[in-house]
This record gives sequence, C-alpha cells and structure tokens, in this order.
Amino acid sequence: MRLFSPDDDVALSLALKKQKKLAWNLEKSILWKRGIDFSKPLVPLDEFNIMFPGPISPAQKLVISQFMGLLMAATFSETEKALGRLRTEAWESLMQNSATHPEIIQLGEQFFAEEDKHSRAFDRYIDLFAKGLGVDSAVLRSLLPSVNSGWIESRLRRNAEKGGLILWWIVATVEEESTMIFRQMIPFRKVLDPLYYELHKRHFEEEARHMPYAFMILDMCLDRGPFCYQSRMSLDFMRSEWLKMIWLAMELGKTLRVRQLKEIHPFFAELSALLGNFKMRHIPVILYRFLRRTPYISPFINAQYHEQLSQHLKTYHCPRLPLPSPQPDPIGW
Amino acid sequence: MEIIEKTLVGRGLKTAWLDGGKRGANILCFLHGFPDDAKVWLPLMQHFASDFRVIAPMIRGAGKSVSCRGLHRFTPDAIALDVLQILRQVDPSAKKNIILVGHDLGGILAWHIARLIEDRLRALVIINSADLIQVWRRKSMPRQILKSWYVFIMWLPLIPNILWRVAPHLLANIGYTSGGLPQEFTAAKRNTAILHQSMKQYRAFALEFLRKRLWRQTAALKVPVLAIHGKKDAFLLPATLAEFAGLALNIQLRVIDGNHWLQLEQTKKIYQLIETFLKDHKVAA
Amino acid sequence: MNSDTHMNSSIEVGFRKAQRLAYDAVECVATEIREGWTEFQATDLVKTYLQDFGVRAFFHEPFAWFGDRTRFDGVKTYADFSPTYRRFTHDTVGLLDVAPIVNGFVGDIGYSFCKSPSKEFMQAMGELQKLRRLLPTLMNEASLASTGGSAVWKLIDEKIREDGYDNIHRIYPFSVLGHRVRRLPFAALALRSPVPFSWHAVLSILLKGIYPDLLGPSHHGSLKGLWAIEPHLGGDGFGVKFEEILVVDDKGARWLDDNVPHARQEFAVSSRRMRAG
Repeated sequence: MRLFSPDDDVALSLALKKQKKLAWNLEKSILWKRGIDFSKPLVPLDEFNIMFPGPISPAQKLVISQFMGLLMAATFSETEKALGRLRTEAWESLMQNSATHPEIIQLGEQFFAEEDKHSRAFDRYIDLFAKGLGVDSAVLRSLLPSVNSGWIESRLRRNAEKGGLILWWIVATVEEESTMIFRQMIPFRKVLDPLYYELHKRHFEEEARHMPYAFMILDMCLDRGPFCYQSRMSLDFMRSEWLKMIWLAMELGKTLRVRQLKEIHPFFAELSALLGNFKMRHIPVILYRFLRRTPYISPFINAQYHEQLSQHLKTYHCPRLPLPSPQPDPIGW
Repeated sequence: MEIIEKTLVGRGLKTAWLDGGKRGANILCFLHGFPDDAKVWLPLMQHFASDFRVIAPMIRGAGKSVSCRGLHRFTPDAIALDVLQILRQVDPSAKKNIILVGHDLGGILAWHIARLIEDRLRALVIINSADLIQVWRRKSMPRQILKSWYVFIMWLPLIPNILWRVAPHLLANIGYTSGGLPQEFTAAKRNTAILHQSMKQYRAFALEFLRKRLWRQTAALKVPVLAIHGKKDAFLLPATLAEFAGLALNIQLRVIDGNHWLQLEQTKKIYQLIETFLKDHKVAA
Repeated sequence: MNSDTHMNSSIEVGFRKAQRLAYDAVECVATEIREGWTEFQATDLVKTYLQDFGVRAFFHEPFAWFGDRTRFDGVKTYADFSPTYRRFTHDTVGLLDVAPIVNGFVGDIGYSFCKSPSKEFMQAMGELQKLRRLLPTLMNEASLASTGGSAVWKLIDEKIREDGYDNIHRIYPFSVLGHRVRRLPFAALALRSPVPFSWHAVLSILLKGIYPDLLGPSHHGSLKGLWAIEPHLGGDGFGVKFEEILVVDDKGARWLDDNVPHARQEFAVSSRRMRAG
C-alpha cells in the first residue's frame, strides 16, 4: 500500500483529486433494486466449521455465512458511524493543533464523507435483509454489534480529547481488515450474494484509496510530536487492541439473544439451534479459536499482525500485546 | 529583469531597498529577517519580477539602510514607517495592491504592516515566522523556548554586542549552519555590521510588544494568509491552525520538508506555493 | 526686560522647530492613514515619527480622534479623550493632536484632515482659516487694552456660533481656547505620567499657576508671551481644529509660523452656515 506523506502536498493534492473523481454514489453506483438473494451466502466460511462442531447442514451453513456477513456489515457500519460522531474530538481538533497542509484537511473531509456513505450503505443492506426476512430492522440489529454512545465510545472520546490515538489505530485496523476481507471474497464472487459482494467491492475501492489517510494521521502525530507525547501515544495501540477485544466480546455476546427470536423466523430458529452446537466447545477452546483460527474474527482481534499496521508498530516502537499471530483456517464454499 | 538598490532619506536616515520588476503592476514587498539583508530574496524576486513590481526593503542596519544608536529606529512601528515611505516612493498614488512576504523577523513586520495597509493588501505570505501574538502563545511550549535560546541572549543589554565584537563570523556561522542555510549562500554573508545592528530588533520588538501589543485588541486580518514552515526549522516550531485564532480569518498553512531559509533552500517550491496560492485567491498581478 | 514680554528670537526658533516637527509628524501619518486604522495605530505612528527625531518627552501624548469623536461626542471623562479602537474610514474626518518637547520647546499642534473631504468639511476649514486671520488682531487689541483673554474667548465663541457651528473647545478642560507655552525644564527626562499630560506640563502649571496660563472665558492678566491657540469647531457629526503658536509681544500678535498645513491651502470661506433643523 502506498502511504500518503503528510509533507508531500503535491501527492496529497493528486490523491484528493483522484478520490473525488472516482467517488461512487450511494444511490446510483450500487444496484439496490436487484435485492438480496437469500439462497446465497454472504461470505465464504472456513471449511472445517471450527466454531460449530458436529455435522452442519447446508441450510445451517448458509445461515452461519449470512449471519457472519451481517456481523461484518454491522461492524463496519457502526465503527464508521462512531468515527463520524467523534470527528470533532479525534480529527478537527487534531487538524487545528497540527502543522498541516490544507490538502490533509480536504482529504479528511473526503474521508469522513466516504465513511459516512459506507456506513449508510451497510445499514441499508442490513435493513434490506431484515425486510427480506419480514422482520423489523431493530429486531435484527438487536443481535448485531453496535457502538451506541456507550462506555466504549465515551472512552474513545476522552482519549481523543487528550490528543490520543486509540480511535485512529482502530480505524487503521478496520481499514486494513476490510480490504483483506474483500480480497478473500474475490475467488468466491460467483457463489456469494451479488448485492453483498457489490457492496464490499465498492467499499473496498474507496477504502483502498483512502486507507492511507488513517496511517498518515498516525504518522503525523507520532512523527512530529515531542518524545514524551510519542511515548504516551505508543501505548495507545495496545489500548486500542484491548478496547476492541472487550467490545467484540460484549457485542458477540448479543448473539445469545437469538434464542428469544427463534419463533419469529426460521433464520433465527436455525441460528438458535446452532448455539447449542457452539456451547459444546470448552471456553478455552473457544477463546483459542477466536484468537487464532477464526477467519475474519481472529485477524480483527489480533490486528498487530496486519502488514501495514505491523510496519507502523515497528517504526514507532509501539509495544504489542503478547499474542501469537492469527492463523485462520482456510475459507471456502 | 534588473533589480537595483535604491535609497531615500526617511525621517533623517537613509533607507534602502531593492527594486525591480514590472512597472505599473501590483507590488510584491519582501521583508527579510535576521541576520539577513534584502538580497536573501533575490532568487524569489527574479521569479516574480515578470508579473509584479518587486521590492525588498533593507531593514534598518542592513545594506545601505543606515543604522543609528538606540533602539527607537528598530521598533516595528519605526520600520513600518520606513516601509510605508518606501511604498509611497514606489507608488505615490497609493493605488496599487500589495502582497507582503515576510521571513523570520520580516514575518513579524509583515503581520504588523499588514494591519496598516489592509485595504490595499491582497495577500500575506509568512515564511518560517510568526506574529508576536503567536510567539507569546508559545511561551508555555518548552520545545519552542529551547529553540529560541538565542533570543534570550539578544535581549541582554551589552553581552550580545561584546560577543559579536569578539567572534562575529563564528556566531554567524553557528546561526547559518544550524538554520540549514545552503552552503552557497553562507560565503556571501560576511557583513557583520548587519548582525550587530539587526540584533537591536529583538530588543525593540520585545519592548514594543510588552508596552503596547500585549494589551491591545487586534482585529483578525481578512486577507488570505499563507504560512509556510520548514519542518526542520532549528529556530521555530511549525505553526498550527489553532495558533492563528484571532489573527487571520483565512489562513492556509503549509509545512514542508526544509530548514529555516526556505526561500533559498527551495526557491522553486516556494515560488510555486505562492503562485498557486495567489491564483487560488484570484490575486492578479 | 521680562523674558515673557520680549521674544528672544532663539526662543521663537526653538518653538518653531518643535511646531514644524510636530506638523511634519501628523502630516506624514495623515498621508499614510488608511481605511481601518484605529486611533491607537495613528497615535503610535505619530509618536514613533517624533521619537525618530529624538523626541523623548511630550507635553501631552498624541491624541487621535475619528468621526464624531472629532467633536467629542460621547466624551464625558478625561479618559475618554484617549485613543480608542475607533476605525478610520475614507469619508471620516480625522484629528491628530500632539505636543512633543524638543529641547524644552513645546510644539503643541492640532491637525484636521479628511481623505474624501466633503463640502461641509471644506466649509468648516474655511471657517477655521477665517478665525486664524482674526485671532492675531483680537489678541493684539486685548493685549493693548489689557482686558485679558476672556474678551477674545467670548468674541471667538460668538463668531463660531454665529456662523452656525458648535464651540467644541468649550468641552476642553477649563474650556480653553488656548494655553501658554514655555520652555520647559528637565526636557531630557522622558517622565511618564498616569494621564496623557506629562509631568513637565503639570510642573509647568504648578510653577506658574493655572489660570494665567489658560486662555479661557475668565482669563485676566497679561497676554504677552507664546500661546498655543486651538479653536475647535463642531459641524454635523464631525469637528475640526487647528492648534499653533501665537506670539504676543511688544510688536503685536502674530502667528509663529505661516508655513502650517491649514494656512497653505485656501479653503472656501463659507457664508453663514445653515444648521439642519
């Protein structure tokens, strides 16, 4: 990935022009009217169904895949929405208090506009899915992750107000993760729900273009700040990993609510039944699987091994959590 | 285009400036800092000379601008009067628009003079400098205080003069080297008289700031302001947008990879930045 | 001979030099003054100009008044005379008043200007010129008749009001039309005082007594000496004045210097000005 240098105003200006020119339109660039093909999975899964031991029927596998796809969509949507809510503390004050080119501000404006658009796009998909199931969107969302001005968000806000970088480390993680996810989807595009695939494709296009922004913000802060600031900030990556893990654990726990929804639709009934399988695993095994072997989730939890993030951590001597690298099982369909 | 040194007698003292460029065009006025004279602007003036009338006053004590005893001719107001008299000479009808460009102490002067000619001013360009209010705001920044170590010495009444008499070239070279002045320009900088006289600006500026500026309200400039900083400037931390609160309503900040004498180190880059800035804000020649 | 009654030419030269320097300063600044300048900026530059010529002390600090402040509208206390953040505009009338001490000689002057002079401004300046022509005669007559300055004050006041203007110098402390100027001691000392008048001014007044030195409505006594005369008229929304030194001695009364800005240009003499309403 070619990063932006915060000092290279020419390159930044070119990047800005390109991003503006190629930006897609939420209404016109995605074929929403094609609707969701509920017979198709949303994401390829690991071949060994590690989370759910025992034989799994194709219908169950489909449900898992679709639920996984919704989890991802909600994660992206919610983190991007939270980013927008924290814009003033995390970005505007940073722009005011940093020595910066105007292109960096303009790129930031573009970045936030695109993230908002992505969030609305993923939300729209979730709403369409709920509509397709014949349930209220709120019912479906009660199972999905959210960042709802709760404890996590206030923690992020407090950190941002003090000039911290937890949010930007999380943004960088999500950016890099989202591009990795799409790359994994590409070989399976013919079997996946076309609308979901198209959504991720569009998401990927803009993420790939503006992903360097988050890393550039990290560069600006870590490179230019005084030594004591750098020392403080270098710990923010670890804090971001902790927060992410706690959040993920809290939000994945919502899945257990599906037992109360099993009467509403077979989708929930199927998912509820699968939970029984899930509980057959021992907790240490579950934890191990989550940390190391689960596609999509393990890399998200253990982001310090992502290529660009890892490079940044090394450059700025940021301490890492003592976790082994994720080795998710191969995915397929 | 030919750029020549001219003089006038203003308030009893000879004041000099470099003058050239396109007659009848709007005026680009360059204000140099310490320990420079107006020739530090020559490369940039040559770039703009085809489109603008370019002038660069020699601040009191530099070039043929005669110095004097005491600090009174080195205050921002006194130098502002010198510059206003030069502008009156260059443009007697006072109808031409002006763009001010200031570097180092010249940047402080540029801010000050900008407030006096705001109705004629079309843009203000500040290179590796800061308004006195910005400097004051940095008083609680240890990194800036460390970088400004030499200013505290300049404020002392006798010691800088003594030091300068003892080892003028050594001190000058320390300044130039730490400021990253390109080698090809240091050889020309042997006029120690400049350094001795120009030092008075530091005391004069500080005294005037404490007497007047600190207690006065100043309206923010409405003209577009371009502030360019070298990331590796040994004497000044790059500015932030927050620092300009109350100083300018329309500020563009650029931090580029460079040292203190950006106009010499990266003349072409600075020219392009200024030219683009003027075009974007429709400031015509 | 009493030094007050016989003008030593070297003293006149000293005062003339101080007065000319003061006028040079205000003319220079008035030329440079632009839309948006505050009164503070104007007075700062007047002071700087004078300090560039070695002035270290002032009888009073520079004043600058713009717009309706030139007729002292809204001026209630002494502090209100001091410069403010009032901004100059191209059609504003401005007034600069400064009194540098040059080798002990006081050059107390006042200067009115306008970048886009209106008809009213020109007429008011014409009125001032008329007063300037009249004042030496009036002072000479009063001096010869030993009637004191009160008669002069009253005549000038009547003239101003007859011609439809307001007498603004009524608002001055003690309603002075002018004040005596003398060579001051300790001129090299740039002593700052908490009021815009210097310690020299205060000392001078204390040594000589207040009333004989002020040309107000109740002045009695000798008129011989040097006077800084400052008639100040008020029109609609503006005021104009000049201030310069008048010499009264055995030879009569005469202006110290005819090479002053308001005497160089001929302003149209107004017929009786009709006041609105």
